[in-house]
Amino acid sequence: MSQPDVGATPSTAPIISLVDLRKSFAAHEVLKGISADIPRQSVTSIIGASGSGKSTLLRCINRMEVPTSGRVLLDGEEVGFVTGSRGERLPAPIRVLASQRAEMGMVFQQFNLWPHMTVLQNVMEALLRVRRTPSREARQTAEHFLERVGMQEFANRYPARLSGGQQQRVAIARALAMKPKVMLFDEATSSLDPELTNEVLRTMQSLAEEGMTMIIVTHEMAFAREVSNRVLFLHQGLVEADGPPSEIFDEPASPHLRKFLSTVLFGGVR
Amino acid sequence: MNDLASLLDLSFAWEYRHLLIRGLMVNIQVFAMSAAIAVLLGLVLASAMLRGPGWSRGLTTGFAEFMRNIPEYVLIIWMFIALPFLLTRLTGTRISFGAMPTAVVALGLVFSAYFAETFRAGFQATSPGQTEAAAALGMMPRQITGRILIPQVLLRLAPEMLNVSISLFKTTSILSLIGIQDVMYQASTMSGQLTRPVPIYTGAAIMFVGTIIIASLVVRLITAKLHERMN
Amino acid sequence: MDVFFRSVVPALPLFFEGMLVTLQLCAIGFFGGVVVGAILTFLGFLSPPTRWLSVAIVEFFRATPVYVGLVWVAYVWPELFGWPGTAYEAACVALVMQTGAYLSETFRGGILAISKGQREAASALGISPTAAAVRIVLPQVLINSIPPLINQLVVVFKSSTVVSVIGVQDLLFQANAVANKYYEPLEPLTFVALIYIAIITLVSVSARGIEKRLRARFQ
Repeated sequence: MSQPDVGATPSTAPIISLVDLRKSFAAHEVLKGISADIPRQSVTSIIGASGSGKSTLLRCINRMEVPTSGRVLLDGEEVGFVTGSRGERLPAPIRVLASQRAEMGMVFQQFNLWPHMTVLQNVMEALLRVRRTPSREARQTAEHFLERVGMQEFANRYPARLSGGQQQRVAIARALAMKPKVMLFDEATSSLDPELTNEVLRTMQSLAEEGMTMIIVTHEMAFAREVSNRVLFLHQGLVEADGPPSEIFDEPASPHLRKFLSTVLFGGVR
Repeated sequence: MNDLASLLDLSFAWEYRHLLIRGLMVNIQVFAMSAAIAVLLGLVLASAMLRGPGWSRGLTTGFAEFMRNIPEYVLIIWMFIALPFLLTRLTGTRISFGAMPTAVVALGLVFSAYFAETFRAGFQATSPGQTEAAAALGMMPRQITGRILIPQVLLRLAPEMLNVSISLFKTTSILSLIGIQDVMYQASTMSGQLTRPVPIYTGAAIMFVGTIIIASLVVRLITAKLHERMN
Repeated sequence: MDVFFRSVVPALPLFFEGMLVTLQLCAIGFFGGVVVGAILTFLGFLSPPTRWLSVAIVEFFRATPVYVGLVWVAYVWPELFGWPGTAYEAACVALVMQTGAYLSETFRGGILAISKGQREAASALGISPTAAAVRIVLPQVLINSIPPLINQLVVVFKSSTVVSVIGVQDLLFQANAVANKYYEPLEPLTFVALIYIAIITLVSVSARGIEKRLRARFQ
């Protein structure tokens, strides 16, 4: 890397900034004040026990969950809010929020492919409706990304005919086709049988190697260790540990982290 | 034995098939009109039941319950005979209803309740993840409803809707009882005039039943196809 | 209101008689239907030729609207078979056949729904197939069938309304008779309509109560 510039230039500014995020469901406070900056082209894993708030945190980023307080910034712009004519902070109209979400790709634990459309139609749909891409171009883009995840042969099949791993790869292609600035993975392999997990993890790894900015909520510790540059350990709504994988996994400082790691079995990315 | 031969002598019914078919057309007509009313009203009821304010929810649920519990024949007779009397008394002017409109409205009302139930169950069964994925990709609410929610609901509901429709068609068999000239009316008139009830009634029965069996088979095929696709 | 007292009240005994006829008819139709349905289901499982017979009968009567079946049984059967002799008999037969056809499908579905795993567990434990059928499958089929059975009872009630057309003196028949006698159809018809609704609502509501209690017990 060349010498760091004085003052942040756009290319080194964090792509996502979380500022004191809090989220409560009724009386229960799930996120208790989380702040973090996610650099471009980084791969950040979020780990923690169930109930620690990992998924909630991820879903706050594209505002699928609405934070009780705190801010999320995408490339300097606040997600879910716009600036009024006099500089006030106003809730964004749905159109603006939708276009912000289009810049972020999300992959769900349950894949959530649309069953009434073919694989190709699934991948093309957002391009046609959101970006208003002309049909031919949308088809080409969709086919390109299906090939990228190795699913081009299944373009005309319906999701019900595909295995879990295949469906998830299509879901990844669907998100990638929008060429988002960041990809969010919400326990993408947790619903999969062990044999199917690897094909998805390999796809995710190749994305990381290409330089995609990724935020991954996962239970796959070996994967997190091998692929991420940074790991956030969440415990009861707060970031208890934040560092490179070597530090988190090999020299855990926090006792909660040590306990958590001891209860997790290591697998491996084959 | 003589009569067995006359039963098998459906050629008699065949000669008079035109009248029977004309009657069947009336059944189909009434079916189509009341189905249209029932589906539209059912949609309205279903949305009220799912999303309306408390009072409208109670009202529509009560209405649907009532319509499911009343025998169709009783409702048709009541609307055709008793209701005009009531209105005549109330308004002082002589009111009467045509048989066909009464039947269409009565059947439309009763079956709107069944369609409403079908729609309601269908909307509730769609998994929220589908719409979440659409929102995460940046689709607008109207697009999500139109491209993701409704198509799925329709596909999932199609078999049940078709079954309810077949049920409605079967119910049109009682139209002759208020004087509508459907297939059963034609059959009874002809058998009276020609004093050979067996082949005529059998012919009418076969027409009705034949139509329904074919329709049921088609529905079963469609259901199987959809199941394959969506499951 | 005085019309009500003039036309309906003196006719109450007639309505009561009519209701008895209706209830009797529905009872015969329902329980007869249960028996016929069970027989048809049994035939369906017995052997391929009997299955064909059972399917043919079931499909035919399921596709026949009750009024069409009624007319057919009341006017065609006597010419062919010399029976049924009275309108009441014809009504019974028609209702029994319609109910039987539907319930046969219900029972069949209920039997198939008892998972193969349970039957396998029984045979692994050394229980004979017959004993398994009676002690394990049958009770569950009966319990699972209760909601559709009660549903079918409601259908029988609704279907019974058309029998007045062939002359059976049921509740609706009496309502028409009274209406024609006084040229005042509103009160008798409304009164009788409400009775039908009341009976059916009662059956429906208790059905739901029973279903809830069953679910609580066996879930």
